[in-house]
Amino acid sequence: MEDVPVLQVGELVERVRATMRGWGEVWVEGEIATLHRSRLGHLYFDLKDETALVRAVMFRGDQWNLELEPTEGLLVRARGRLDVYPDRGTLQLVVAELAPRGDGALRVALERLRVALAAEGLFDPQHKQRLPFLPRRIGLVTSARGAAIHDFLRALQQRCPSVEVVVYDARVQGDGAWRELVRGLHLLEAHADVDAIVLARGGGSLEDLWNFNREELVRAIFELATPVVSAVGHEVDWTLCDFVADARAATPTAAAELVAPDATALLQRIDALEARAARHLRGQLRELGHRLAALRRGLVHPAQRLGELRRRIEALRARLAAAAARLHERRAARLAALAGRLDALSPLAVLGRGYALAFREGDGRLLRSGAEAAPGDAILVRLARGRIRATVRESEGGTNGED
Amino acid sequence: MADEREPRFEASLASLEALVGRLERGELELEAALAAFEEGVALARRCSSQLEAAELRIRKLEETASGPVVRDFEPEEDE
Repeated sequence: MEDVPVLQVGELVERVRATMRGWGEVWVEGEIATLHRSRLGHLYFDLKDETALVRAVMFRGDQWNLELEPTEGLLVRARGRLDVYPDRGTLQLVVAELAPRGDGALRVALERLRVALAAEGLFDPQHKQRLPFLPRRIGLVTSARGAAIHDFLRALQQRCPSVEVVVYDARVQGDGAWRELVRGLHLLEAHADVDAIVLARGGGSLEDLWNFNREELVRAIFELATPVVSAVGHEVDWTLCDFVADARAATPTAAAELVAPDATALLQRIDALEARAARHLRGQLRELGHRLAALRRGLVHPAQRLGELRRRIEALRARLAAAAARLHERRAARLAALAGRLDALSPLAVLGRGYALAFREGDGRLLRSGAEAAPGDAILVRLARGRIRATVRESEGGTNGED
Repeated sequence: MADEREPRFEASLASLEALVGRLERGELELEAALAAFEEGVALARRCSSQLEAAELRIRKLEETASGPVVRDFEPEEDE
């Protein structure tokens, strides 16, 4: 027994501690049990599985990086170094990092947070902001090296290339990525004058997407004045960002379709409206033209009217002339007939039978009685042919019965 | 943030539709119809000009020593 080296307790514990320091950091997976927080803010808990249990402590200064509030029953993966608590000689894991482990546990934690935030009203539809119809500039918070940025930009280029995009390059997974996401939202709102912000990331496991379930990010989206579209994950994935965002897109490509209108379709719609306006205006003009033509037919220009009058006058004059000519002819014919009849009664015709007519010279009065002429009067005797100028030698009166 | 141009686009489009509707219902005298048509053409032109662009303009917000700066940006082709 004397040969066997005997250690003091302090020495033993010190040797164990030295050995364990030599191991450096270890990763341990287990379930949290009997958790309590000290007055100073340190977290004390047990990590256990079916066969064993180890005590653990996470000092307050290491907790800034915690992904979620540790709770009993939560399966976690802890990074830390082993130590012995000298006063009790108990093994203790000093945890530097603690992350939820396993989908089941994550989902429990996530569901708890979702319910709490929903109860606070963060997901209420009345807080949703309307997305702009045609944004001038869109902010995009995503990894500049991810697939999401390419999907989004390609879709937007195709759909509405007049939109401007301002990218904020942020890590989208891993420790503390949510801080960059929050910073990107705030910086874009404050410095890039964007009409909407798209938060995008490709699909991934629940753990990959964990940053998008961070309470701080959810609250930042809620408080942002700019509308936010959440485009995190692929179809079946969802994160708390989807609940709090003003709109949710299943994929980054769908986000482009949500945030900008289809420019080609809009341009066609505008063209069609313009064409409709032109067509109806032409129709209206044509109709007015017809009405005008109809009115013009009823409307006679004064010059045209004068011409018409002149033509009417010409026609009347012609008719008048024709009538006059006809009248003249008729008269001439009648005259000739009358002349024939008159001829029979003509004194000249009587003279032809040997009678003569005597006129007093001077007043040319036809003498019907001897008393009408005195001796010495000059008289004119008219015969059937020629005449005789004579002087009365003697005259005697007679009765007028001879007339 | 809410830009002034955006609601103007939507409002312009709505005005254009209303104008065409009025033209089609034949509510307007020729003079007013011509004025409405001219206004419609101007609205259509204004709307179209906001949509016409061949290439997406992509920029990047970067943090520099003198504060955040927005610069032109060419995303890498690979992932």
